[in-house]
Amino acid sequence: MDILHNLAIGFMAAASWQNLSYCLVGCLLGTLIGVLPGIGPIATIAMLLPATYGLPPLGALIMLAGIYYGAQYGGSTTAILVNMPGETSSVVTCLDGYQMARRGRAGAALAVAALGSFFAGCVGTIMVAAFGPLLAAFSEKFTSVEFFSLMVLGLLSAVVMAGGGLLKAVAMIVVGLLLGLVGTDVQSGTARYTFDVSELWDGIGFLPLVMGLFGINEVMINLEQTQRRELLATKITGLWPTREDFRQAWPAALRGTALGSVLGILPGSGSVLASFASYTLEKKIARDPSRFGRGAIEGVAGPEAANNAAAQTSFIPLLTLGLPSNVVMALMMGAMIIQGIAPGSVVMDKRPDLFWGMVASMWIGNLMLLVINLPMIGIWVRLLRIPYRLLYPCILVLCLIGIYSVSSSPTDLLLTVVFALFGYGLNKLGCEPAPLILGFILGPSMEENFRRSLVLSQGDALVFVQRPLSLALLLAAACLLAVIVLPQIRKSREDAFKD
Amino acid sequence: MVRNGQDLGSGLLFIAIGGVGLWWGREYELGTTANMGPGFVPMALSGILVLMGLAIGLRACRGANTAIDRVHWRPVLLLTLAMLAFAGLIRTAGFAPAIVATVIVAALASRESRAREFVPLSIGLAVVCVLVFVVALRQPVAIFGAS
Repeated sequence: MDILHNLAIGFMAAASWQNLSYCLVGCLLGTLIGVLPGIGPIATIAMLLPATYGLPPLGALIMLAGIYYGAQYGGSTTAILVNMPGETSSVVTCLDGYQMARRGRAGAALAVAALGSFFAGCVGTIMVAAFGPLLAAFSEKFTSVEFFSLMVLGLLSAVVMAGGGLLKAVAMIVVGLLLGLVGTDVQSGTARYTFDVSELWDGIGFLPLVMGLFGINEVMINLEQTQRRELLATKITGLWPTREDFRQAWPAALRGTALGSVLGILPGSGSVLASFASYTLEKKIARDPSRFGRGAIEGVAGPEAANNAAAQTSFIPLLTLGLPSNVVMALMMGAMIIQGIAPGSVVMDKRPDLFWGMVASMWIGNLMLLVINLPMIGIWVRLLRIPYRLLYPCILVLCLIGIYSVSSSPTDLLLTVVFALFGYGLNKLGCEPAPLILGFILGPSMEENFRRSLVLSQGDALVFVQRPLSLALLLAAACLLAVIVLPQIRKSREDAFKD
Repeated sequence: MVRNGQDLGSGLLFIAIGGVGLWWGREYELGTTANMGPGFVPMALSGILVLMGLAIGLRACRGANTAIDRVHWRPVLLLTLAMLAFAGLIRTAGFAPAIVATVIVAALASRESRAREFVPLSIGLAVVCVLVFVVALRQPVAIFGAS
């Protein structure tokens, strides 16, 4: 009954008019930007981060969660209607969703995606409420030694699950860790890597980094390809799926939810793996697998549910252990830190209204997307028609105003330029920027825990393998690395990321 | 022979970043393992990065043939210029002129842009942004002139 009691606290906190309106604004803004062609969820969230800066902590978190779900929803919409996956996790939705749209069934595909996501979101919320406290209680035994090992595991597993070369990805983590060290060292007061720029004393701003690496970099990349988008379904009719659709879709959504909830909790895996796994599963157990890729509704319902469930449960490691499992969670963590909240079990103990309020608002956000956004699909479709040549100057200006409105400093604007160019270079060199963000966000606390561990052990580095919990975490990290190096698994991983 | 331009390039990049880290961090106090100074972790990470850069660069000698993607200079340079224009103009010329200039320079980055579209767009966007950010959200910036 504890869960019910806690959820009640959360709903009380989240259901104030003010917080509901933050949630609503977040959902609408997230969908608005997320549905625009050529802007993925990560860029969407990065662009909208400044909007949450002036709000009280709970309001900001609620709005962020709304933005997140909105962006995801916007991503599936573009996947279905224009065959443009906003992020890797909606690649799978393209396969059958777009085919359904081509057969004039875009409405049904969108509705099934939204309903499946909503159901998965409800289950995911319950999972967060049920497992969050357990994990938090578990982590209370952690000392800085275990936290350090946990972060090593978290960073490595995030890299393993992401595509691209392993060595490069680990190197990107190290670059991120180094960037995270820029600024004044808390323990000694030494200014490190500030290059005599006084604005860097507080460290590199999170906004210039993510806006440059994701928002503006994305514009640069998009401009290289001539945009030839083919928008289907001039008019979306028959939004409501038929009874037959429901019969086929709900077991798939159920399986997808189960799969996604479990995969989401594992650090690093997140929604990409979940949607791929769900699609494979649906195809395998289908009576007629040849329907897949030609508009099978299960191929939309399953992965969309899995992706949303995983998106939800990936909050668990963040909220309880302070461990972001993917870039989106790193963005969330960055936003929390800016609000003065260090995610982890402490939040749950000291500010239960904050933790449970956010859990409750996840559910409310999912509901809002369903009731408000689905009927508004006509408006979103019209947005899809805006040609990119008119869109990207506006995106650029909004990014710049967002950065300037938070810091009022031209230095941050220049930093954004630097990171945009850096990101562009990385892209040309085939390096993913995502691990860099994870390293950047975890860098300061990783250093602190590392230094504190060695103070405790009086300089004995063996402490990390002498404490059983820490040893187990490091062994898990080593296993992950071993698994990646083994050729068999490496091959299937490459297959999964081939698209 | 070097066949993998991407690996070689990123290897060199990592070595360069690690090198900067080692060079700039050379005066930070290292301390002992039991009581680390501010320099320990940065130096360790920079060193690791240099080693990884070497490994990636050496790997380039075998491995698949992946050339570095072609750099499209027009969008990169013009978008950079647009951002610099914004950074330079917002305090000197004001919010609205900064937006107009940014949009026009940025629009030139795409071959598909048409002046009869992006000039009105820049003015329209400036008006909307002034209304939203200055009038409604009361951002402390001058609409015209220095602030």
